Amino acid sequence: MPITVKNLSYTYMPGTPFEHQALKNVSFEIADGEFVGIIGHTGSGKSTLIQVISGLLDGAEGQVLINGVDYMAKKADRKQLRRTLGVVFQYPEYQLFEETVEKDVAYGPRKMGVPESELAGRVRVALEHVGIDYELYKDKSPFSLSGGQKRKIAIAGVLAMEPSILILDEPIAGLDPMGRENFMQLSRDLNETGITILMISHNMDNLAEYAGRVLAMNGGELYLNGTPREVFAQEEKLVAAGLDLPEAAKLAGQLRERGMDIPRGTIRYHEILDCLTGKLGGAKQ
Amino acid sequence: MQQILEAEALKFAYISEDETYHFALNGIDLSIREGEFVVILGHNGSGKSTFARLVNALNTPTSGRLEVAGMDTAKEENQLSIRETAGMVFQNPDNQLVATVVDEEVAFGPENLGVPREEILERVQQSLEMVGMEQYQKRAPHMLSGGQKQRIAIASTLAMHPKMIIFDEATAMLDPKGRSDILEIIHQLNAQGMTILLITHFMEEAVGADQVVVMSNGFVLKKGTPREIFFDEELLQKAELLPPFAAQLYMDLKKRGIALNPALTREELAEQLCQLQ
Repeated sequence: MPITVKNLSYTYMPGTPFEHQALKNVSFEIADGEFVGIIGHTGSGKSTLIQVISGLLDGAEGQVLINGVDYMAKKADRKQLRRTLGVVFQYPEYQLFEETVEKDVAYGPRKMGVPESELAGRVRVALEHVGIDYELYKDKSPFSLSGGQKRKIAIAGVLAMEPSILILDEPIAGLDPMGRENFMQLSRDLNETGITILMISHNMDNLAEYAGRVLAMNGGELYLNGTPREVFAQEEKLVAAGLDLPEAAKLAGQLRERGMDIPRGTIRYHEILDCLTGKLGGAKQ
Repeated sequence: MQQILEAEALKFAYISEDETYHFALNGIDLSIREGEFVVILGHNGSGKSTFARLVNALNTPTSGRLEVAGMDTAKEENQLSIRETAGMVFQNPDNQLVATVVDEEVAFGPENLGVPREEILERVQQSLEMVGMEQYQKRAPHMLSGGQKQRIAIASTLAMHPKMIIFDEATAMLDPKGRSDILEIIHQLNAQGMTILLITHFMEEAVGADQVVVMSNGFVLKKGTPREIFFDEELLQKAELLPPFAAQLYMDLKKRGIALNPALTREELAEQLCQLQ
């Protein structure tokens, strides 16, 4: 089990007037190779959760096991955790700092102690993963690139450390529609190479299409946990937690209200398209 | 109606260290009337944000002409009144908020304009009411949620009594609830006469606009009503944009032999689909 979270609680600034419990007794497991989406409104505890899991926030109660190892323990080998688990934060392009794309992507593995002779190979593979041509871009300044390209370079920097678990916090915020689609496709490709993916997103449509499981956080608690179909079928609960539904599910609901027989659990674009085509006698392509 | 913005053959180039010119805007012609709701769409790097910076006189044209409320943005003496006329709300409110208490934050703009104290208090109260944040006056901005911070950023702009507000991807970082709250406020402001220039990657946000401007590589590819834009498949492909959900579904159903009237919203689709059944 790559990630096991048991009875996890976290309180910010305990014992002060600003005391705030951000996580309340959260438990779940994530299996090898899963693609899990995390949803929740601002302040629901999503970011705190991934910071605790990635060992960036100390002082939590409960247990987090990464590949069976408890990195919250006092003598834990945090370096090993960094090698296993890659984290891409919001707007990672702001973290670029080196003179060239190659140096920036190589920074992580170099610090990890990867031999110089292997670095170029790792950088090449990582850049290929994100669809950036190594030869064409390796000597360019990362700051001369577009926003979408910068973000890809930043992610390549994390991939170059060859993590088996990848945590992404709002990776598609600020990208244009094609950029969002391309990025989700990239995440799926990485997932298919065996990398376990945990992705925080406000984009329900993307998670409905790409995630295998969705965790919904609300008020610091794990509120819903299931396949996208199971989670997005619970319209009332989602709305009560200030969350949204995928567009296809919203239309399905509107059609049901008007007396049309659209199955609950219609959450993806092609599902509503096929369903309507069938009902209205169109020709499937 | 009077023009509030007039761009003619507007070009802008970023100059790199080796003094080569990188044109971000390649000749923009655009006019916006007072009270209009205008949305600019375009892929990352299409020049949208550069254009917004020029409207706010944060950059000046390399060539061509840009006037805001009749004031030439190239003239330095106009800069302050241009920023007073055309307020700006950015993507990340954390980059925009400066004060430690909400009402001081909102007072910051009018204070710098030299507005008398009595009037500042009035403006702060009024602006916070317009975004529904009056009960947060004495709170610390950094303790608020993203959507609340963005509402404070809007209130700070409103306190300067602008005629126009430019929203540069102001909803990109917000959760769904925060996003719909901000959009509602934007529409309310527009209904009260405020000119809106909204830059976004969310096609759904453009559906209610008076005018949609599609940019690509520093050019305006097309200007038109949402209907003229979102059913033009060739244009969307060229601009690397995807239509809103309802428009996409309408077009795909049409390809499968189910003919409906063009629909931009789910409501429009739902009405028609039920009648077909």
